[in-house]
Amino acid sequence: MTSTINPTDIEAKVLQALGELGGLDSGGLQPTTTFEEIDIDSLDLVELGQIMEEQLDVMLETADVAELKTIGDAVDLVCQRLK
Amino acid sequence: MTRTAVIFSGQGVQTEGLRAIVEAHDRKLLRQAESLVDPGVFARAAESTRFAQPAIFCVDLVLWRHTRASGGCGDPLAYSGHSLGELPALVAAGSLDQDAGLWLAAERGRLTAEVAKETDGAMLALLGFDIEEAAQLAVRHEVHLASDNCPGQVVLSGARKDLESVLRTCEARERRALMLDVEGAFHSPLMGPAVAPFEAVLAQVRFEAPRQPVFSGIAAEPFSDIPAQLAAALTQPVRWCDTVTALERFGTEDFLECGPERVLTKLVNRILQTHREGGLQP
Repeated sequence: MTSTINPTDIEAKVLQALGELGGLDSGGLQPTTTFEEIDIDSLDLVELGQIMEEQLDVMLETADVAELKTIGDAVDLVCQRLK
Repeated sequence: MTRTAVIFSGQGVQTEGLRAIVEAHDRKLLRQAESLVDPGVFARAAESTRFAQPAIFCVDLVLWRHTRASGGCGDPLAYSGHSLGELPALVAAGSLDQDAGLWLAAERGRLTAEVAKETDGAMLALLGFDIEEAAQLAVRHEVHLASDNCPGQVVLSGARKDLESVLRTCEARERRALMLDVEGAFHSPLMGPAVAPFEAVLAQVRFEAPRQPVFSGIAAEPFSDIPAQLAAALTQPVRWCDTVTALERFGTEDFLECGPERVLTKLVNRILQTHREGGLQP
């Protein structure tokens, strides 16, 4: 059975995780928001990888997350890895 | 009135834009730092801890003074700081005067930079490890616990080759670790050569009793011997989880971070959440 990737659900999970990591209200986050704007640093991004692995069974390597600049980048990466 | 602990950032914060922050609030301090350390002390903060430490000290202090002046905080219940952040904390509490604090930050930066140049040290953040597991890994690879930042974030410090070995072990076990962008093995015995010279610097400074308690990050309780504990902190781990929970037990209801980012705020939130869920023991 093929699972359907729903980018909206992925985005919601990424936003929620980032909100928790940054201590922010995830409702205020946008795909264009940069990690710099919301004080998400390299350690937070590695932890995001860990959360995505636990919640979505998707592996995000440290090298993968190191290049991410925006929330949209993170969502795109998770969606790619899930395919 | 909310009982607030004011906490000051150490290194590991972003170093862009620091000059603009200090210039906006205290041009005299800006000129002083540039004269004492280097005209490019703020612009070169990313280049070396020699510049980063006095630069971050200045930013922490001006942001606290601005917060205070704008009515953002009354008399705090207590102060603390993560590593270098202890120096602005002591200035804010009236234990150390500003000029002496800036000089100490500059000397701390200079001395640790010199040691870092002579030793190939590094620091590695372990994510998702508990402290006992991290400690076992440290012993096995002959590295050291440098900072217990928050539940699930422990930093090791030591020789770069040994930390790379730890990193390979983590990767092999699909556990997460990240080599930090630092120039030396702070909070480890590799910083030992900086201790005696820093003690000599500290001996030239007068410390007064603070107006409110300043919690030492290595002791997780109010400083009992400020110069000795500041010197010891160069080679001892930062017990940040213990310090934050100790501040909470002391009566802190709110933590106010003074620094260029909200790094400590995020750590505090995670520490307190876990503590309240019973995951951290006093």
